[in-house]
Amino acid sequence: MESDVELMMRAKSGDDSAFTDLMKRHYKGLVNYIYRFTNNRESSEDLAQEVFLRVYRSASRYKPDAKFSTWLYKIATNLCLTNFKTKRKEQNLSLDEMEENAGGFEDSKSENADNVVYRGEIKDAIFRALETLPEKERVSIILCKYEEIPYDEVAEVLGCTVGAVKTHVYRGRMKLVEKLRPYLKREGNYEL
Amino acid sequence: MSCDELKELILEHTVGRLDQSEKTRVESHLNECKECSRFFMQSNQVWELLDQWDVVEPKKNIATEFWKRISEEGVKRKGLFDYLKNFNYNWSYGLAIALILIITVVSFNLLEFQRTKVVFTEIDKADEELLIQVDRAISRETAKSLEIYGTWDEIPEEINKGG
Repeated sequence: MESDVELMMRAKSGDDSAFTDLMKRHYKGLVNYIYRFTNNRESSEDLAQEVFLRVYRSASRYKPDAKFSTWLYKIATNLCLTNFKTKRKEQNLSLDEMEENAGGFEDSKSENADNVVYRGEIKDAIFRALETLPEKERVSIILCKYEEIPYDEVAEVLGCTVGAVKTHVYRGRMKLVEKLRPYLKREGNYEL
Repeated sequence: MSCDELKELILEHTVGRLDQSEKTRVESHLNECKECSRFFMQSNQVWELLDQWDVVEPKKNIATEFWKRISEEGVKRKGLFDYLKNFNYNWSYGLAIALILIITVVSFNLLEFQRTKVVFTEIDKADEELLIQVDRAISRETAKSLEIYGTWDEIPEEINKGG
């Protein structure tokens, strides 16, 4: 099987079938990565297409210095964060308001935590908890946890050191413990 | 092992990246420190909880939609700006433009020269000589008259008055 770089080099020289193969290879992973930022499948697919469009347009400038997937996730991360900021502006929500909302959500959920049985609700709770994290902590956790990308590649995506990535994951994880505590207590498996 | 050291290793422990000796050290510290034990369990719980957010299966046929979008964008490129932006420059175009420019400049210069050029014929030359001769003759006549009659001021008053 051809490597990503080989396919990208073929795409660079004008071979569209190579680019199609690349898309098919990474599409599901990319959609799921974006999905952790949007919690909406439709918009995740649209954004994933936008990412591939950007990759296609800049194919002529591609240099195989880094892994293709790192480059892809870097573009996707920038797009997701820009999209998130635009969305937040549209909603006219300040960060403080978001924190307040998150707090309220946690409190209200703690009362009803016993009733939370649906996976959908847990999913929404995780999304909302992740949404309140600072950008780098959120990206680090999503890449490490859901995409299973090693720290050094996450560091490349974020443009920081491996140590900084570990710190982001650690801090984010601790914040998630606080934000998702009601769900940890509820589930028998998670009891201390 | 200190508590801070353990916190750093927790992530590695969760994903099974610790070697046997490190794993043993972590577990022995957890047995001794209640605070770290609680921290470790909660950290693991939240990490496992994240797994409950399932992956999604994309619906769309990415390749078909992608190439459709590419071709649509290609069709949209109709404007002059887009045409110039996507203009494929090569030598033949460059040569043609250079040729047109040269022809334009040469033609303009030729027309300008035709417009400003004065044609001096033989007849014109003879006319000019004739005019010079007439001028000289008049000058000679004037000089003779002055010699005979003197200047206008020297004419007696009665002749001027009487006419």
